Amino acid sequence: MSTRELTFAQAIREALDEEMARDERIIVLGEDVGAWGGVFRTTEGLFQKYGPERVIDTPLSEEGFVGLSVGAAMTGFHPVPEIMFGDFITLVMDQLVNQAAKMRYMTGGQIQVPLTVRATMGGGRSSGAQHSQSWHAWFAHVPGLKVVVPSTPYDAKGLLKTALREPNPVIFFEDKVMYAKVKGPVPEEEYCIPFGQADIKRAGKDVTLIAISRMIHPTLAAAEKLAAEGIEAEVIDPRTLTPLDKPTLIESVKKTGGAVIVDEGYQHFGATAELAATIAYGAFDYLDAPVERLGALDVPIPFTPVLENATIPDETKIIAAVHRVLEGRRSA
Amino acid sequence: MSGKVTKSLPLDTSTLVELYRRMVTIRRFEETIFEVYRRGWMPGLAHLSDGQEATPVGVCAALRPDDTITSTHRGHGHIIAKGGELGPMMAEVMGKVTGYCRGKGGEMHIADVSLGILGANGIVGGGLGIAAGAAFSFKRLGKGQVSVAFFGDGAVNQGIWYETANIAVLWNLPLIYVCENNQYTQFTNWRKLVAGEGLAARARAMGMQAAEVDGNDVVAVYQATLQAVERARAGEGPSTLVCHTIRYGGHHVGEPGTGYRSKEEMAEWHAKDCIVHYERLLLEKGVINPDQLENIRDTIEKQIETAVSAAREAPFPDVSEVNQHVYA
Amino acid sequence: MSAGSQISLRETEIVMPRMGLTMEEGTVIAWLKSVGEMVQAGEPLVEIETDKATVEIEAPANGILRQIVGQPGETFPIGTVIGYLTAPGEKGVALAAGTAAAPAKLEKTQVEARPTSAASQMPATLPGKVRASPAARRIARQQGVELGLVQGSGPGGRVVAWNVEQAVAQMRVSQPAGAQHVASESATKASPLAQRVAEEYGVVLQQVQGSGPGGRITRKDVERSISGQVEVPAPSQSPASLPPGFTYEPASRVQKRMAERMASSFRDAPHFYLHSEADCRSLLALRQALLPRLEERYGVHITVTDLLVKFCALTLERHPQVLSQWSGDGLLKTSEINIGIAADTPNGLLVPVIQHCDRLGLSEIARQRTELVEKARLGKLSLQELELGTFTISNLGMFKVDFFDAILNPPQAALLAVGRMKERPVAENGQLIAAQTMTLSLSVDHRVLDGVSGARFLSDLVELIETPGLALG
Repeated sequence: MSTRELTFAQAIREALDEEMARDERIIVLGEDVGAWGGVFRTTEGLFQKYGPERVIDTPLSEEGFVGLSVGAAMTGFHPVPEIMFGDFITLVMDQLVNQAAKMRYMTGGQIQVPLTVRATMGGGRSSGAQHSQSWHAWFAHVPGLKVVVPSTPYDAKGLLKTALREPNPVIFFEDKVMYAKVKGPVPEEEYCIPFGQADIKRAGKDVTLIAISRMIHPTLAAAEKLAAEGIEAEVIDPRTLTPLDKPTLIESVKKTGGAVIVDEGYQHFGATAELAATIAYGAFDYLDAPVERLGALDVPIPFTPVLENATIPDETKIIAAVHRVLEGRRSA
Repeated sequence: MSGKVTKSLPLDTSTLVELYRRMVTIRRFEETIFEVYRRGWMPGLAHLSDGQEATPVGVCAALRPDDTITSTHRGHGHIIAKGGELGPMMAEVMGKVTGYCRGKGGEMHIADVSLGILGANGIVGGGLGIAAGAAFSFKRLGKGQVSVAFFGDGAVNQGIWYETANIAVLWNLPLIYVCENNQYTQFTNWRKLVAGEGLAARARAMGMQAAEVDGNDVVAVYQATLQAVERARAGEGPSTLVCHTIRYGGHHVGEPGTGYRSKEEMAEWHAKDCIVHYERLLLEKGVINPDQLENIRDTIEKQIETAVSAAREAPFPDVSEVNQHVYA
Repeated sequence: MSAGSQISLRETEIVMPRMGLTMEEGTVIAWLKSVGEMVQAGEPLVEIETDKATVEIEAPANGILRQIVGQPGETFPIGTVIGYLTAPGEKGVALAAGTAAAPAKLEKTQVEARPTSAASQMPATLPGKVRASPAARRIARQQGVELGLVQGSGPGGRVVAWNVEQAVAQMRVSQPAGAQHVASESATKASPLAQRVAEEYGVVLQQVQGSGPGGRITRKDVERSISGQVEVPAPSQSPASLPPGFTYEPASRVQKRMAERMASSFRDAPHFYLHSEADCRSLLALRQALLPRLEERYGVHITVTDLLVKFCALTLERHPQVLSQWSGDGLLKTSEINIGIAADTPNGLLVPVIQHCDRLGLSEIARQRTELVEKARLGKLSLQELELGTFTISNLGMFKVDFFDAILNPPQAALLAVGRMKERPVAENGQLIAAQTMTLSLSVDHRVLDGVSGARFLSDLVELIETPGLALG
């Protein structure tokens, strides 16, 4: 019933804290997660509270400590390794894709891998091409993994708690810009958000806007502007890509007849493509216009702000896409 | 720590005989798989380890049942040495539902968690991270378990070895790296691929205890492993054993292994066959007599025959199983 | 992008629409709004003429008519952009006047489509194929709307859901008052594939000849219809056995329609015929006297038909029950006196209608009749000019047809068939004289009127003809 507000980072920290208190198998590993409290403050105070046995500063060896986490998950722990910049997840592909994702299946169900990999995503901070990427689509493409992309502090806490109770490998993507910049209400009471449940963040009837992670925010802002024009947009946050809540997306487009999908991953073969295909298949007879996709421009992410901003979907581009979807269709 | 072949046998008779039994079991199993493959009774590829038996047998003899191993794509020896049963192994190789992994893993991915076998792995070095993780867990769980990572000369150059080795030394993990150097990384001699003085030197440079062992001397391997295990259990950290041995077959069945290895070289190795050598030793020392040897071999033949016919008759999994076991 | 194609994404294109199955081009007749004027979606915006009809195109969206591209008198292929609407409040088109690529006039040469807005990056429309969204198709399918007859307001002229919904609403409104469109009572038997192709290409199934078993329409039949081959039928469509000396020619759409309508009229309405021979001496004298004066005063040439229209209108005012129409188990009653005049045209029989004849003076009737008949001959009648008739006059007097009984024009209950006016022997006061008479035959639908009702009407009409001065009453 309380309405205190936490930042995105604080919500994540709180989820870790609560679950670590609840389950002693949970251990946090990563670079500077312990004594320093995490580069983005997401593990602040945990080292002091739980000690070096459970909050572990690793050497700079992503493959090493994530590989170790896989083994530890198979032998009694629930490790939570942190990939400081999601771009570095490329270094641990074998551990996640060939080992963690497949252990259970390859052994005919003998093995469980309760592993939560926390990785960051998102540009917009002039961090350059190798520190700004969003790789959630890659992992949604791997059977055996679950992929979580929260957009608000409330969702982040609820979903991370679920991940920390999940007996399967989960890749949990946290947008860097949101850590400090996005604040939102987070109840004090205990709650978990199940995977596979999209959230309709704004109801509407004229067009469906689906946005992933941080993109929810410019999408909601665009929806407000569109409302002033008499266009009521429905904004949906899938929250998890695997498992994906297809029915909610499809039902919405059946109602509105058109959709715009917004994501910070690259557009070409990005997450938007799967969502667009889901809609095209499930709501085919109800589409009144082609499905629009807005991903990051298919170029390495530039350093200088004027160029970087040109590559990331924003309110203006979203509004333009909505107009294209509604062209000649008269929403009233 | 010396790695020379030892003439004294500081083990009790039953252990000595068991070492022999396990090596012969592996040898006959691999030779049988060769036949199974050639007759088209199994799909995919087979990566056989006949010739290398002494190393897995020696290592696993020094382990407790609750210690764990990770294996490689050439892992039948590791699994049998750790107690794997021939029936479910043969069935898995043939892709049957009665196999260890219900036919879903295949000959490269066999696992039996109850025996402490955390899976054979198709990625070279793929078991190293997992083994390090198990060691990490054992240290926390405090029951004195150790984790053994088997790998070959190929994995010596995989980054994961260095990353996990660094962590293992740093965090003092009960991890034992066992490198089975069977001389060839697929089709290339290891000396052309490994810079410097080899893995043992690299391990020492990282602060780890390391030993080079005659991988064909089962007792020497056993003794070296025991020392490493005792150190690990005592909280003294990780070790590396480099065991020099040979695979008689090619990289996989169908690849004869003659394109890159000379007859002379192979003849030399056959002359040092680990089972022949050990058999002679046991007979010389009076540990065993020829009749007993024959009984042992006979029993093994029967076990293998049973395993083969059972596996051949067993069903494949039902197609409806295809999307089971993805998630817990 | 060149200056000529720089278009704000807020522009709505006004496109030469596809109004009919075989329509390939249309001519701009008149813009009903001026540049800069505010337009509501659905409001008539521009008049377009095809070879069949003149129609008003409605504005596809709210906005300001920002630019007229297609000038009156110019002809364009379907799909060509002929104007632009801008959403209110928008800066507007960056089209510089004069640099805008002039829309292709229809010469018999290659025509280039106007560059469309960046938003409509669609592949070129396949010739003949209706571009419609899946939602539009679904609604059309469910509501029985022919997509090809629906004008699309979406990008590139795409038919979108609300276009079809509008069409459905209009269908419901216009259906009661004698819709022009032939609604075949029986379900047209067509294969699902044929139905799908027909829907895609906007083919009216009822107008397709089926060559499948039992006259079933197959996909090939529909495709043949699309490519216009129905007008020149393939010889392979002959029925299985031809009597010797006969060849087979499948009916054109117009022929087929007439055949169906006449057959159903004849079959469903129990006809009876009332005959009269009207003495035209007074009428002719009046016409003789009036004609030059009327021409001078009103600039029109009055014909006997015009006079008949006027007299029928007056008589119908006194006998409105003749305007009723049978409808299932009741009568549709009206007081609308819209008289159609059967006209022979190169396209076959057409019946243009003069609306509200009771409100029109003779000269106006003559003027409209002239215009309509001319339009009919040129094939330029609009849909409005062909529909909503409540009474028909058919005059074969220019031929050597003394009298004839006509089949009713469904759903009307009465029709006046006029035969030759000529000198005939007339008995008067016991004497035989020669006088100009005209034969009239009134066909009547016995479901609506009985003999006496019909007779009363005819009597009154003949009285007017024989004593035209009564028309002033």
